[in-house]
Amino acid sequence: MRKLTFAVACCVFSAMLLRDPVEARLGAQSSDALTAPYETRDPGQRQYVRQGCYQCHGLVGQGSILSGPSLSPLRIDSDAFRRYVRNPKGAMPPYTKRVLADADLDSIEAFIRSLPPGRPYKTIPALARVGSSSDHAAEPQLSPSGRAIYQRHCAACHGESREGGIAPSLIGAGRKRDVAAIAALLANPPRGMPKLSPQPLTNKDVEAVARFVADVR
Amino acid sequence: MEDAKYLGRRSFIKASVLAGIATPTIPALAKRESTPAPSKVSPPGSAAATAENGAISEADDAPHLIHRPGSDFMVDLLKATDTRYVSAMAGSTFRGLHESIVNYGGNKAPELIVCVHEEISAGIAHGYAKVANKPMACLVHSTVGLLHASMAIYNAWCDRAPIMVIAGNGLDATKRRPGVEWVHSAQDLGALVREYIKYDDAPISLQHYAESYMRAHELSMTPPYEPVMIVADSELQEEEVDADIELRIPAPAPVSPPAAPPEAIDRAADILLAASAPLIVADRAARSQRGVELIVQLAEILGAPVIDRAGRLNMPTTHFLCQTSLQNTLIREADAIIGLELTDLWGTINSVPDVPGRPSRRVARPEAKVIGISTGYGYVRSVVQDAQRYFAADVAIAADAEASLPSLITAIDRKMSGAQREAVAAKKARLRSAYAEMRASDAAAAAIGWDASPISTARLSMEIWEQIKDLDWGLVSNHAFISSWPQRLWDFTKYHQYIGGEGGYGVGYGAPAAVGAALAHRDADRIAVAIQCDGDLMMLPGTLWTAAHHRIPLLMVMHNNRSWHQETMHLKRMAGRRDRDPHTWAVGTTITDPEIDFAKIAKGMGVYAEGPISKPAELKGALSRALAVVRSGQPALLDTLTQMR
Ligand code: HEC
Ligand code: HEC
Repeated sequence: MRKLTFAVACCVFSAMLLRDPVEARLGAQSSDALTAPYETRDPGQRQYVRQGCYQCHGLVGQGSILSGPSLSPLRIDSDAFRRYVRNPKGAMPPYTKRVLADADLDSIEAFIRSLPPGRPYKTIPALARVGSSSDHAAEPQLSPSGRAIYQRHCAACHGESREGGIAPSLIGAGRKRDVAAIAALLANPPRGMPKLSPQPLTNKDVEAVARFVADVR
Repeated sequence: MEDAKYLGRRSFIKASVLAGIATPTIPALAKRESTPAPSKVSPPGSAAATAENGAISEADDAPHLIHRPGSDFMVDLLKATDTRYVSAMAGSTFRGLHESIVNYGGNKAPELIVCVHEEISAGIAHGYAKVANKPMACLVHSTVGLLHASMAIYNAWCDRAPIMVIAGNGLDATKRRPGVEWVHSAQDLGALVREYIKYDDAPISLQHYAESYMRAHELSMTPPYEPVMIVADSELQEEEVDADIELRIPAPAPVSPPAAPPEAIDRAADILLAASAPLIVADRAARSQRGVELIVQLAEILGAPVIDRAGRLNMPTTHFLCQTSLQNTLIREADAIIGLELTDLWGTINSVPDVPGRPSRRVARPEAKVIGISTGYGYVRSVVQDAQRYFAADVAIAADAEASLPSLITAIDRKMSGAQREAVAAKKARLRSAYAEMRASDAAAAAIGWDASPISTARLSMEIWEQIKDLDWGLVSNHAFISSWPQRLWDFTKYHQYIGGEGGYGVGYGAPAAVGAALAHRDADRIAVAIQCDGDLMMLPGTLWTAAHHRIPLLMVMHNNRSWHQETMHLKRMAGRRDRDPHTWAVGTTITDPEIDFAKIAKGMGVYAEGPISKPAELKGALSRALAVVRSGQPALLDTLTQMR
């Protein structure tokens, strides 16, 4: 036993001697130390930080118009999520299995899905004032416009301006389908697209958003 | 008095002798052929004093006094152009002018704003000009001082902001002391910055100086506004002006800005009237509150939404036609787009995503008609590439937007049919609801992460807004770094409430420009607020000292994300695309290990400070304490730890 301890001690000691002093110094500037102030104990969160997701999507998935979309709430299912992170289409860097193992990606996804949803802005007085149309000379809206429904329910996948993203572009969708056909598609969506009607979109909403999408401009 | 000075010099020489330095007896000029040049720069001593002052003979009892130095006249010119401030870090090539500002001018209008780095001097002048709407002067030492200032001059040039740079220099080589004065002199000082100033001259007489100074001043304030530079020769500053020379201060003759010719206005009006979805995009279009009002008029008469690219404040964010957050959609839907003083018209119509191969594509509809009005059409430089990509507009007008808008609005009003007026009126309800939805969706986006720690940039912005909104305020920092939350959430209604950004994206602009802008706001009795990036403050932290020294009321709230955030994303993209180590992106892009304590830095410079504050609930109290300090006429800094963007 004592012999073994001694042997181990020797090994450790010689390893220390062998260690390249330059390497030892570089070790001081370790990537993990650099991101440590932003990490919590949650293993998914830690991966989310170390893999740099938070730099573009924010520590709580809030996103920014300048770096990456909000991931809170995540509006795509696990399949689409995995597909997207492995092979993103825009300015997001790809994450292969080599640099991000499936298990780690799963823990990142679990972390993202565990993020508390944003409070409704109307419960935050400062934001409620910004969002209230009466403050800003806008007339009250009876029902939300097709554009607004699109922004809320479709843009995450089809792009803010219908230019496409994780789902195909809808620019010129009206040439392929008329309003009724798009409404039908919403009721009976293709694989990879969530079912949004009759819930959360009412028939009226579906008609409005279909009209917006069909507009060929 | 004169006796005392004389004695002072005598005892100085005595001290030199005691220190073992040979007492000079022969005038240096007389010996110039035979005296070997010293091999290295010697410390100031009696030899140098003699070379500088001429021979001091025991017999000559009267001190050589300069009663009417040329630099007094240079101060007269600063006063004649109503220059209220001169920022400077002391330098010997302008010691004459420095002394004249303080003593002859009484250090009042212009007052010396003391800086610890010339980049700060120029940055302060940059920020000041955008609020005061006139240039202040920035005094720099030859070569080294100008080189330090050059970064900030470049920003101001890209940003079309006027600065009067006055650079000391000693042109007469025979008057230079050996050593340092040579490396602090240039034969053509303007060459160091000529590609990014509008005009420079190195006058050789005071009258020449006066005329070039006036011309420079006017050029700087003729759109495009730009920095200009006058070299103040040391000899010219320091020598006695002959009693028989009569110096004249040339009368200022402000130049009216170039306005679009009638036929171009006609074509532009026709295009805009023929469109069903016209769009206005403005960047540095407004130069004053009048410019803002004109853009509102143009938008209203056309029923056209406005995208404010925010090089200046162009459009009140409270107006329903201010629809910047909808820009991606608006560009795609418009059938006529008018760009007003855009930095980049091509980039407005097209896009280049940051993906391998950088494929560019037109975003606007192929048949959309495009009009550009900009003084940029007539003003480009070749060395630095701020011209952006070539774009063939349907109507391109080399004129100042603000000066051209009245005739454009009149032409549209004259040509507009009754049916066209009705169509515009019919669009209003839809445009109003698009605006309301945009505000609501910005508010909803701001709510995500509202309670997060570190503090979200939306929360930070709104906590500040809640405390300043009933004051007379101005935001003096670039809001782009915090996801443009102020632009999306605050009520901007006046031109002076926002001044745009760096111009040249040169980091280090933020702190000094905020202090310069705050100086101008102070004169107008307004509270200046800056949301200050950590990377930027680390460039020129000495700016804080100037703010404290001059009691400049400025509320600085840190956007401390402990990184050069843009670069973290670039590194991540590079490593991701190369399928390499996914963790190393933080090396060289983050400012952690150790974390910087900005409150300590600020306190060390004499600025009231609190922090680090990472909990959003603590913001309100800290902000109100800091604001109280600012309202009492002092700067204050809050180090707030924030989310990335
Ligand atoms: C360098 C910035 C950057 C990094 C790092 C980054 N993303 Fe993204 N991400 C983006 C951008 C930008 C988009 C928008 C689409 C695009 O351009 O690719 C996006 C889109 C997404 C989407 C699609 C969601 C939607 O609503 O459109 C998901 C999911 C996502 N990112 C997850 C991640 C995860 C998980 C990580 C870390 C493993 C990560 N991202 C790292 C920039 C980034
Ligand atoms: C979670 C992502 C997601 C959301 C949210 C979503 N879609 Fe889709 N959508 C898809 C995908 C993926 C496809 C392509 C399916 C396939 O491969 O055929 C698609 C296809 C479509 C198509 C057919 C496009 C074509 O070129 O054939 C239309 C139209 C469409 N979506 C409309 C909408 C509308 C309208 C909404 C909002 C009310 C919406 N989608 C919301 C993912 C989404």
